[in-house]
Amino acid sequence: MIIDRTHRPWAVASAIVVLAGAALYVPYSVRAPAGPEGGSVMGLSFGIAAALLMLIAGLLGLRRQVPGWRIGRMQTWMRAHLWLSLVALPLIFFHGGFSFGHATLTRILMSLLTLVTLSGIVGALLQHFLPRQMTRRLPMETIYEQIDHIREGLRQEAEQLLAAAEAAKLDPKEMLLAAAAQGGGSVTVAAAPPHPAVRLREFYEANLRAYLSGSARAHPLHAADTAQRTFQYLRAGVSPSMHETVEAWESICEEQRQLAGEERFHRVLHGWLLVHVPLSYALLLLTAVHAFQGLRY
Amino acid sequence: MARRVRTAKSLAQRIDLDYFKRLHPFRRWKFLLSVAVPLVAVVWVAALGIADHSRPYSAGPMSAAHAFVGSRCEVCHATTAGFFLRHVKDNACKSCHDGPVHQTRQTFTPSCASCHTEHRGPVRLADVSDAMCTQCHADLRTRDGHSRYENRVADFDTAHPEFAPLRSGKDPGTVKLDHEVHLKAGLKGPHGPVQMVCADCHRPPADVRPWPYAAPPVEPIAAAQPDPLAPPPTRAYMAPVNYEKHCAACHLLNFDRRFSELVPHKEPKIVHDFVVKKLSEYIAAHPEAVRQVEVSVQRIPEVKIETRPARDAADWVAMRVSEAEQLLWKKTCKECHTVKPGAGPLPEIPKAQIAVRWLPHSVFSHEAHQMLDCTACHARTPHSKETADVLLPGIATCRQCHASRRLAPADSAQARCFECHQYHDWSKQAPVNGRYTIPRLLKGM
Repeated sequence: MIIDRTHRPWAVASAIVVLAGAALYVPYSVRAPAGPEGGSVMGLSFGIAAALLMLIAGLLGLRRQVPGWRIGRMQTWMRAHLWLSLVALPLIFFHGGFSFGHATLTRILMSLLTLVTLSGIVGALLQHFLPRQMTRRLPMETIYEQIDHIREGLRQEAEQLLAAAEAAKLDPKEMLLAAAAQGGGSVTVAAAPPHPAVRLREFYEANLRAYLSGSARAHPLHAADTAQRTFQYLRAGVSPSMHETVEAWESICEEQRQLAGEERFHRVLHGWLLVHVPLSYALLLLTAVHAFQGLRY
Repeated sequence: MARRVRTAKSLAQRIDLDYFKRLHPFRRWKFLLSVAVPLVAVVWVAALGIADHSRPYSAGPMSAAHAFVGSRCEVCHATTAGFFLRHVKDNACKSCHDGPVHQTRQTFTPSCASCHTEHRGPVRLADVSDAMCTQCHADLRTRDGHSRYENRVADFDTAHPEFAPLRSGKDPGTVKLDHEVHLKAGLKGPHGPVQMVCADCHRPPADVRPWPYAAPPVEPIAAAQPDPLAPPPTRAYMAPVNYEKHCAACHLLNFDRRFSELVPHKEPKIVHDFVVKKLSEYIAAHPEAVRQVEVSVQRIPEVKIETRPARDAADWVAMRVSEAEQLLWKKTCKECHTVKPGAGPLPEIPKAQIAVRWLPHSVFSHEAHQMLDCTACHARTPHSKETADVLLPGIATCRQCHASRRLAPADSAQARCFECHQYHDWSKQAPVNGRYTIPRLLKGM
């Protein structure tokens, strides 16, 4: 989600709410005989308001699970989630009097709140900056869950290109030129010159299959400049009719490189959710327990 | 040769259309963690509920006084409205200790927990915030609308009236005392010149040292058998000045040169009866003295000496009693007391009215201030000549140290209300009928 000018009304409203809360909190904290307390009328008001905001923000998960539930646009839900959560944080501090809690449960809650908020802010920043990076650097990106499947398709495509090259009928002159290139400039008349695609086969077996099958980042072809030099060398060692195959393989390698990059981007772009989402559910659950026990005692 | 063609159609055809039916590892982990982490929280809460362990929900550590309760929340948080509400009620506090009312005419009585806030760690619960006091005393009202106390007290530093004795400006005591004379160098003592200090006369009850300049000529009235249950004497307040202990060695109550005995330091009637008795006993033992003419050995303008011989023993006693009482009423007693004509032949001497405790609505401890010289606070004393001088230090003296607003907290003596005042009227303390056994109190058994 890009944080653009469409967020401005939300930011302004959030700032107003926080400032209003601060305007109420300051005199209350100064005048409170025993200092600001969560169980006081003002403290409870802040707590209830913050809990409601967190609950509404948490409904985003439900909304995402039911896409057909057409209550508001997804963008609106996302903005609400972001800004209501941010407003809830200062309200929680007003509720507790800027204390990190004295009991086990309150300390756990404040820790969870801190982790959830920080992970959310990190996620929001990542979601703001990385997508444009991906668009610029990964024009060949695909659906993330299909990367393995696409990668297998690339390997098959490379094999098909090799098979097509091996099956192609070549001009004898070309074959001689290819043989000369392989033999360092001389040709033995008695031996039949090898098919120029042999070089491709050798390259495929030695490099390309491994790059398209295994861990892409560990392979030398993953580095763009290394790949460029490698394919230039390969291109120089095969006949011109094989050059299209080599270029196709180069394109496949570039796509493989971008798919690996997409995987990395995706882990960064969404990995924070493995922290943010579970802890959010725990936070909401324990907040309910805290409210119950607090009102009870 | 094959060329690599990337069209939208060719790219779309690469996609496995059933991919969304299978959970990607990333989504699987997100789902599993979203279930597992809250489940851990649920299990933890359930375990606490099964074990009936409430400490994780506590608002904070207990004070030192209540630490023995431990995690037994129900000792104070007794169930009131069914299962749910367990607010602390005053009855829970009063099951262990009484909290007498402050004033019967106060407009409302705050609950125990509203002033004595628990769960703030090892703090003294009696250290109450000023706001608890000023919620009434900043604008004091009573049920009947009339308060005889200052009705606007907000804090000690800036909004506390001058102490009441200094506002009235006059010591109600009737004993004449010139502090300046008593504190001067070379004061005539029983055995030569002395230099008195404040502690010679002003001592706490716990200080039982003898008077330093001479043994008292009159034995103090023997104390009754000490009460073993009485609290030990303190060093907070000074005991009132006592004639027998502090004055008698220098201010002798001689009445006649024939007697070394002193008249009792009592009312004029008792003194008169004593003098008559002594002189009667003397003339009975020395009847020849009836014919003797008195020679004046002391030139006291107020005392008229009869120079004629007495007619008989009774006349002799009457003459000598008159002379003795002239000496006493017009000089000796008058030295320190205001002697007024009485309805009969004997004068009236007002009660001494020495203030024992100047500020009855506050508490003070001299012992806490014993590092100071007496005149550091009682600055006017060395130059005081008049009994009417109120030598109690004013509030400005106290504010030099007890100034929480002007000085940094680390540099200021405590200046909150509880330091000098008590809310509960402990004279009305009621007994508490304890209802706990030790196992029940500690373990709930």
